Amino acid sequence: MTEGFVLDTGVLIGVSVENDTHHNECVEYVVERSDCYVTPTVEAEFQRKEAEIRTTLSEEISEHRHDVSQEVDQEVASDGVISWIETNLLESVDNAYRCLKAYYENKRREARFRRIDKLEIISDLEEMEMETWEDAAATHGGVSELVSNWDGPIPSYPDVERELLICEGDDPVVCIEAHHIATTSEVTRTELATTNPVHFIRRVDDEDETREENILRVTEIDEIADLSWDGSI
Amino acid sequence: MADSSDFGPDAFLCHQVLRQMERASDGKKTVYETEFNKLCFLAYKELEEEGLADEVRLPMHWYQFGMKVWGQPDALAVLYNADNRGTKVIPQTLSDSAFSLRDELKEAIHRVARQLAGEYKFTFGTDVIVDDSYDEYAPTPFVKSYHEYRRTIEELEPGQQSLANFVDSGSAKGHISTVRPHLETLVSEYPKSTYNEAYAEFKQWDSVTRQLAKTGDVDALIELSKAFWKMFSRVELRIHHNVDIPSETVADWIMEREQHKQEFRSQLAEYRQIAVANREQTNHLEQVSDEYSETVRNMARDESR
Repeated sequence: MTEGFVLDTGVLIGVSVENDTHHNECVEYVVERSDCYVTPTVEAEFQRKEAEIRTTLSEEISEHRHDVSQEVDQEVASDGVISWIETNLLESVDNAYRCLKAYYENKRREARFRRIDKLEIISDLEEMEMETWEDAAATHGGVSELVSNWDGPIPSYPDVERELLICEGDDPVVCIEAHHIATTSEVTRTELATTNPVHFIRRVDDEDETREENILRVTEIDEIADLSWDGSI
Repeated sequence: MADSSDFGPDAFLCHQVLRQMERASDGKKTVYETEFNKLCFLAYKELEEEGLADEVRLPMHWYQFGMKVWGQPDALAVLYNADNRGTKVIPQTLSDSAFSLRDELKEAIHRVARQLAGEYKFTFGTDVIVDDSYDEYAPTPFVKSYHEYRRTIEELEPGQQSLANFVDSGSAKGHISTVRPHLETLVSEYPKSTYNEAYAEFKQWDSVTRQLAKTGDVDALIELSKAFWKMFSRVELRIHHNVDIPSETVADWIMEREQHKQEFRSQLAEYRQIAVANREQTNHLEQVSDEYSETVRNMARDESR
């Protein structure tokens, strides 16, 4: 029996950008399964989102570094200087706020038992900017080695589409593409892996069935795997 | 070729700058395009001080290496000829009577062109005149500092990296200690309100440049600095710093901005890839992996559905 595993964008971001326990779970999922597919819609969305996330975070950290460089006069970043940075220079940081806050908390602890120079902080931030561009799955050869793009043409399935409850953004297209893969002779069992149980699994408002029941009923997909992160380790 | 009666003070200035250089150097000095642009600009600035610039009306804009004359060569009474060293600029064969301008202005242009020819007849290459025009006339401190940065990285030795590694017992310092002070100056001098169109690109450039300096990749540093400055000249400099350029041309330049930024962003992505592939591993984001990954998940969710 040949199994096909169709991944949604959140799983790919988990593999390539995140670096925590959820990342490990996503990597484990794709490493253990040799036939992981990325549909054209997911591929396009992944590329766009990945670039946007990396660009935004690196630019925010870079802008923050510029602020530190210009606003901090002291050469030594003492406990007091670091808390001044946290209070005054993190206000303008939007997405990267929590990472930088956690970084400075660590630095403050370190500052109690060793001297930390402003230059060290500048250099750390420079490195962080580059780290945002790293492929988190590099030790496995990178995300492109772990998954295959589904290249063949994908026809439309108006009957299936009409019955699908899922309606948010590109999600119905992703379902149709996964359905198509399920109908081909290349796979006998198809699983769709998602990090978005709200759209793909649970019941939404007063819909008659759960999204999962609906997808499994109207498409050829056999199972939906929930790879969302619930925060527990 | 333009009708001789069309030649006004702007063409006379361009023509004279070349004629006087020919005369002063006994025909030995070849003027290339970059030097021609700078000579015209320096002549123009002299005339401006004398209150005559409004009459000359020579269209110019700031471009990669300083001010650049804008317009068709034959309308400016000169010819461009490419040889193996670059683009030579030579004066068309014309007598003074081909130019129509009042005598006093003619004399002033003569005098300024002679003076510049005397000053630059023995300088070969364009470094001196480019430095001179940056030193005196860079439109913002940022532009002047960028020129200094460019000069510095051109003098870096590619081999220095391995020596630094050796001396520093294995830690890759590369050229960052030489390059960083220049970048810090550029960061502090960047006029965000004037050059706001290219600010995001500047930040990304600064970020990748620092990493290339750390890995000591001098060739990549130089190539990336050229690509950045070309984009910056097109997106900001020629639009903000120009004289007598027709407004429809400036409007076209404004329309082209996005395309030039896009082109640069794809070049930058290639250099970033090189920088990321060659860098020494660091783990700052790993140390805050919970906060970082949660942020990534939120961003992936937010900007989609």
